[in-house]
Amino acid sequence: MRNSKHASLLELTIGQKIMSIILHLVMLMMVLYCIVPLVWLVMSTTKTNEGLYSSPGLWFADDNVFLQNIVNTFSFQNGIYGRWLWNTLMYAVVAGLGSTLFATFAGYAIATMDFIGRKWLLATTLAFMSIPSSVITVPLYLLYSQIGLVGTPLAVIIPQLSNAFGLYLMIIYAQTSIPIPLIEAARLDGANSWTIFWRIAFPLLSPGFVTVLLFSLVGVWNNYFLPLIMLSDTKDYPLTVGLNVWLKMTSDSAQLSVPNNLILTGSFIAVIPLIIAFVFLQKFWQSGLSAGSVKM
Amino acid sequence: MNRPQSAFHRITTAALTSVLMLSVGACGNSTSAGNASSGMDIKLSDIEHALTSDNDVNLTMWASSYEYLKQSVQAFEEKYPHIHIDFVNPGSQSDMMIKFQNAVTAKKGIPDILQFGYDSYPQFAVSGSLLNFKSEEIEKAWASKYSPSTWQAVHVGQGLYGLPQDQAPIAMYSRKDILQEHGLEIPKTWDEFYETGKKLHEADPSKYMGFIDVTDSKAWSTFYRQASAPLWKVENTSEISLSTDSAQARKVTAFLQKCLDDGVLKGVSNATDEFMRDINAGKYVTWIDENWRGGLIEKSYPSLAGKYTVTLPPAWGDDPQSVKTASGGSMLALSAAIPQEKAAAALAFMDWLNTSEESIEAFQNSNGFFFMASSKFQQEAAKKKTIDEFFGQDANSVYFESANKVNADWSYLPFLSQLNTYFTDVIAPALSDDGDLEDAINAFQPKVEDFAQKQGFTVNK
Amino acid sequence: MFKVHSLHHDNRKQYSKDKKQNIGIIYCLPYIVVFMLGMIIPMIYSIYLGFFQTRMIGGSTFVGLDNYIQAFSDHQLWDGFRRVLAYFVIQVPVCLMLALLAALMLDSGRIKHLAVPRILLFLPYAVPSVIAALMWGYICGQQYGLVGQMLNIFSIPSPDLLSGQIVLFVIANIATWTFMGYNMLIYYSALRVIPIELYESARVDGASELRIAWSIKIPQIKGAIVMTVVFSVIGALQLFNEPNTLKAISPETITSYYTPNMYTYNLAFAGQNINYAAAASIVIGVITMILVAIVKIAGDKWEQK
Repeated sequence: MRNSKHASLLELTIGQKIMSIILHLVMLMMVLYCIVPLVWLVMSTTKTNEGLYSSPGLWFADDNVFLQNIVNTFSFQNGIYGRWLWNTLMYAVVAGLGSTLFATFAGYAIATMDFIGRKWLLATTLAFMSIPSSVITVPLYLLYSQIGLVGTPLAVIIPQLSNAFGLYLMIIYAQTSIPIPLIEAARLDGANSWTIFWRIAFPLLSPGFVTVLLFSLVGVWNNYFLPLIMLSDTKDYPLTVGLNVWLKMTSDSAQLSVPNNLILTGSFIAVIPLIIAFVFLQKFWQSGLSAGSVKM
Repeated sequence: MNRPQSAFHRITTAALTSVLMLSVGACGNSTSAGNASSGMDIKLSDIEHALTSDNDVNLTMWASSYEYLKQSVQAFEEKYPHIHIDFVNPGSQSDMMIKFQNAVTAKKGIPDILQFGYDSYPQFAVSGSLLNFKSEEIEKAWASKYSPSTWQAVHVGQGLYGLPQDQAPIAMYSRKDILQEHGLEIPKTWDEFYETGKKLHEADPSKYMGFIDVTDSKAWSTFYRQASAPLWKVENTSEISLSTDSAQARKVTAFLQKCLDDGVLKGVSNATDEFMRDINAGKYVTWIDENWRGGLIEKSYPSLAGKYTVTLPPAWGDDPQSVKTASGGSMLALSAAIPQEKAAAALAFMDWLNTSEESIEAFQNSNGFFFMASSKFQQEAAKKKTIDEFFGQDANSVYFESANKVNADWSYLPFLSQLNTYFTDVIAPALSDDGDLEDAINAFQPKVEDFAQKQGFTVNK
Repeated sequence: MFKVHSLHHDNRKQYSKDKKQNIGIIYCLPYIVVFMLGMIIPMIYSIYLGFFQTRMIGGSTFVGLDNYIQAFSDHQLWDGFRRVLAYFVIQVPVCLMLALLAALMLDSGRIKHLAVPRILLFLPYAVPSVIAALMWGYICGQQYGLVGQMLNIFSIPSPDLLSGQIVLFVIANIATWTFMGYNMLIYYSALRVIPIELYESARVDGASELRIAWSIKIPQIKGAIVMTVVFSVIGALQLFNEPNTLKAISPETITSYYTPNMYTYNLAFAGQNINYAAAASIVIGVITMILVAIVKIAGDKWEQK
């Protein structure tokens, strides 16, 4: 009896060990799949334009010109890259923060109050949540040009302030995290609605707020189609469109050719801020996702 | 209880009404933009006067060659402070075309002056978005200021739509080191090109004599232009002829098919990382392209210095002297929406920018290989013999020779972007895979015809 | 769309029913304004534009339903839909299964330094699709790409991944790369909130991790799975950035009507056919809504099983 139990335990540990090794190997392969392209990008930022074509993709070239590339990227064409980075930050902050705030206000109201048009708003939001935004980009352009918004940053910001999916998430989040009796009690104590929202509801909603904020930041940061169509001056471009202009310029006779190493360094810098935001705000958005997924 | 959503109801009604009103405004008078503009009467004396008057004028200009032009524009503003240029960089040429089209459709934010490729402005000329400023007087005074082929290239039908800025004659860049390795010579005719290429590919199957760029129709159609086998002709602003199946054109098609089949040419996109590496490795031994490409090769592959030779492209037929070439380049056009009082100042500015001594100098400073269309520049530069270090020869003299041999009997269809769409959809696959080129071209012509007819053109075959 | 029923019924209990709180409208107002300006009005305008036809020569005329009828019989539009469907069949199962596998592995508690793979798998989501397509374009390059270099070591001729039908797999791969970590996190978050008692006893009884995952964990996160499938339907029908970027590399393979979105874009901006593009956009939008509804209904049935 003893022996056999001992043996089975031992077997189990061996089995577990093998299992564990397999698990880690599979995980390692998945991680490699996800980061190899990024490693290529990082390696490319250390190379000269010619080094790109004469060295292995996943290793360094003979001379490392990383700092020089960063400096050149920011100084090329009188520092247009810095403008693009600034524009991207501005669009992302204004549209991302704005759309998340609007969704939070509305989500809070729909989850905790009954008011005229509530059902109507809910139904339209749900119905339009699945409409791809690119479907309306062309009409959006024509419409905005009529009211003189095209060519201004507003044309990029306003459409992205509307975030039906963000509203949906906030409704669910508010329903799960705000106890109605708490609000009723505060109201009986004579607190006005605005105070209740900021003092009681908003702190409860903050993980959901951060989650929706981060995902809308990514949406705005990575948007290409809308700014491409809406903006006419390269000075107003965000990074995605700007980098693509550089990419096209390499094969366009009318333009200065942009060395590929600068395009790649520019792409690398464009990815950094979002990665930093995600890594540092991990705690918030992960708890936001968990709470949201109860209902999802 | 019947109207619980009254707030919403009112908002939607108001919004709907305003939308409908806006769009009625948008479509109500759009027929006026339908036809090519009949022209505005601008006198030479007005143009001259615009430079000396002290009326303030603000002009907006969009140009993809922003970096090359800005020095000259600045010099102009310093010299004539009453004319202010709001100079915008609209990105690449294809992006600018989309934006200009959008602005015209919206009738808002239309620039006064635009820079176009010779092949890309005609679609805006025929739709009436660009100003036709032709007059006896202007033709007489200005035609001689530009090289003949570029002056011809700013006309569509009988209209004059712009002033030539630069010219980009084609040349052939050959890796002579690789040819020598295999005991081969730089070909002077297309038949030699084929024979040389066949030997090369047999000796080293990883190498091709040349390639056909499949990103747009330019490289492909250049073969037909060189062979004097026009694929189409623009008769006037509302009538075109298609001849992709003419006997001459089919001869060129058959030749291309032979080259593709025997590994002499390969259809490939020239805008990729892979392609750039292939060039570095010498996969394609020749590169036939407009002359600015020489500068790009020099910048991108410093280590290939001394390995390239620049010559004229091969000739059709047996006589290398009879070679005909092609040319690209760009021009400045005026928007049809420009107010009459601004048009004279705009033309004065364009004329100065493209032909004045100061401007030519500024151009050359900002970019050593900008090949201007102005005859003054061409005469002066042709006298200068400069040895290009990268090529170890006087590359400019080749470019001038090519510029003089441009086949001017060629017109650009007034719907370049759609033409390129059909090209990449239908012809490009046959160029890069094992498709049949003639079949592809036979499928291509009806599409072009259908599109042109739907856009209101008369199409002859 | 998700849990529509719960939003309509269950939560009635939650908000105070006794009196209308019309101040709620004030809270919704900013959202309503941008929703109108960013979605509803452009949709209506688009429908309106679809009733006209504009020619380069001849101007604009009213054509009634012609554009809409033409769109329904446009074989290029349907070609795009078919391709997107094929893409969906290839990409979605692979991406979601990999994501589920990764989430279950992380949740099993057997992986060391859990936070490291969790964030690394998620990183690609932060990469703009334009840049992602650029990177994968390199990796898949026939001769100099990683795939080519690796096969060359074994003297296997490298396939040209960027031309022919195979390029659809490359696009599917880019999307999988980008969204695997994102879906993984949604699953992982859902797994974290399953009460541990549900599988503790199974574990004590000696059930394997695999068995627990299959019989206990996955049924618990059906809702999250349905949600990711719905997202994937929308994502597939929106497909634009990846093929449009790869078109620069492989113009001969990726046609102007490769996906429905690319088709409308090219109609509007290369073909200067704004009116037909608007009508086609509406058709795409309606089809998307129908497909999402079907997936959602099927998903709800599966969830309730």
